[in-house]
Amino acid sequence: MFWIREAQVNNIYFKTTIISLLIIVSQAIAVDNCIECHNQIHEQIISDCKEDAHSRARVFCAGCHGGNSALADEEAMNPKYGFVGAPKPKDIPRFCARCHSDAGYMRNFNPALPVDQLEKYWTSRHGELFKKGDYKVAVCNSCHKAHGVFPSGDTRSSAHPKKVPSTCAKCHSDPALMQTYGIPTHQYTQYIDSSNVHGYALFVKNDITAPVCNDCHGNHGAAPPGVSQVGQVCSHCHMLNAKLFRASPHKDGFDALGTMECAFCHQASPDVNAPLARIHTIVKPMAKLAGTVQPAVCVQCHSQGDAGWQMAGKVSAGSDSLAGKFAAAEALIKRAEKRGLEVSDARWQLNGDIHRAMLELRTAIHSFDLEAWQQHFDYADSLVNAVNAQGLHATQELSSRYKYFLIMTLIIALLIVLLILKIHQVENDRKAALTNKQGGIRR
Amino acid sequence: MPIEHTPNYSVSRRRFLDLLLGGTGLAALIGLFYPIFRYLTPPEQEEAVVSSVNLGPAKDFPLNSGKIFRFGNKPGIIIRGSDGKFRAYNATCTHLDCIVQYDAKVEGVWCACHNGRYDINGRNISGPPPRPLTPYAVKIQPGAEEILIASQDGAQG
Repeated sequence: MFWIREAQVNNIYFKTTIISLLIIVSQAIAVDNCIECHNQIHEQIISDCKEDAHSRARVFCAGCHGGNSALADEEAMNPKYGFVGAPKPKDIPRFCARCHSDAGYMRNFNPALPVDQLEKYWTSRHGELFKKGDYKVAVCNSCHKAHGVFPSGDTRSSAHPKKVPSTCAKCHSDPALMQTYGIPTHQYTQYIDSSNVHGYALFVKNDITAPVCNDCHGNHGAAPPGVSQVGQVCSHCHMLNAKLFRASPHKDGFDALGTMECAFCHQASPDVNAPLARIHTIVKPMAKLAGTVQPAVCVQCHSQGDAGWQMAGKVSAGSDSLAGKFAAAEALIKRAEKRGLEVSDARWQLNGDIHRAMLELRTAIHSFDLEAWQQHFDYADSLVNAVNAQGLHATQELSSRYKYFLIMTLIIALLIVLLILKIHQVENDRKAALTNKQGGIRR
Repeated sequence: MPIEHTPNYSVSRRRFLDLLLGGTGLAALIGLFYPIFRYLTPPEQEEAVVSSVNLGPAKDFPLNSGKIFRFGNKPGIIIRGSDGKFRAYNATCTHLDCIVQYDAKVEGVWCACHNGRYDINGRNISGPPPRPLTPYAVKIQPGAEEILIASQDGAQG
């Protein structure tokens, strides 16, 4: 019986192989009449599609536009073959969703690809307006292009992290279009400003993990984050800061004021009277952000004498003093290294423990708890003082070496002078003896 | 009457010897002071290359724990997993150079700066880190049962 079963299995393999070969051969020799006819009039479109995600999945023109590409001329576009042509904006979300929302179908190409884009789209601000009949809002091809669609990880994709800001800016930097919705148009210019820490990381340091528009607003479900959700959005990367902030008394206060939590303090030149004015320029965090003098942000809400003002003053003074000590310690260690002294322990402390302690101190500010901050400050301060002491010790050692060198140099120089004088004296004595001798002979 | 030439060879020779003596003296002075000058202004020193470090007895590392150690002037992290296996990496986060730490709860490596995560094998699994951590070779010295860390390429990691 075994040989019969084996023959059946072999037969199935044989048939499958033949069918597969036939499919491959037929596809290889099949002529796509869409391309044959449109090659001249839609050259750019055909060129764009040549290597895109759809072509690689063997989804060609008819895959989206319908029709029968095996037939020539007008017959290929007969509606009886499902020809739909170029979809109108009002049809595009559902048009793309025919495949992209079909989990079973998409599994044939990329089982890991999400299939909830349309569902999310309806929850987005774009989708909400679309449902109300506004077809000027962004639909699939506004961001992904209609032809030449690439996965977002491909640098040719308009949804690649480095392209997202300019893709969104196509509409959001258009004053005429945005005027309709009462939305400002400065987001892109604020994002690409060189003082924007995220834009700088993306464009200058080529860090494609730096947040772009969709990391904060969502992509298919794009909407502005609510006032009380900003901290949540930032917490994806700035987890500890957000955790401390959410547990602090500032959380409720900020939400009540309508200031965008993290974004309010960390934007360029925050102004409580215009809390959203520059929230797309998130500047590099610096110690002077906390304090009682401009550009410290605390003064926007706190006034002289209140508890917040006092804490801001102490934090500012402490940060300044620590920064000064750190700079002095680093200069001492650098000088000692340059002079060839062994200070590797101190350098290790500066780059390791102190670096970490100062980061923790900066994070601790977000608790807005003076006692907790003070503990971190005392620890960082003690580490810096220890390194400072090592630096001073190295400097004293260096001074001693210089002093001994100076003394030895003076002694050697004196010795040389004395030797010269001695030679002169010996020479003079010899000349005098010679003169006396000659005088004696003449006499 | 022919003119008598009496060249002053003795003066010329003395001058030559004086010049020779002065030049030699100057060279001797330069030879004396140049090392002093170089001592006072030494050239920039290269960081000492460290290719291995001994972290002491293996029994000092509990299961499911991690520890930062010094590898030359760079931080390293040694991890002993729940399986008892030792792994060591350069502890500098591949995102923005913060020092990573071991997270025993998830048995992985975590960077507090931007919530970057690596698995126990040093592979970047979430957050912004773009690359895995640089691994170090871990050897347990036979007999002494001491942990010896070495960089993979023999140079400082």
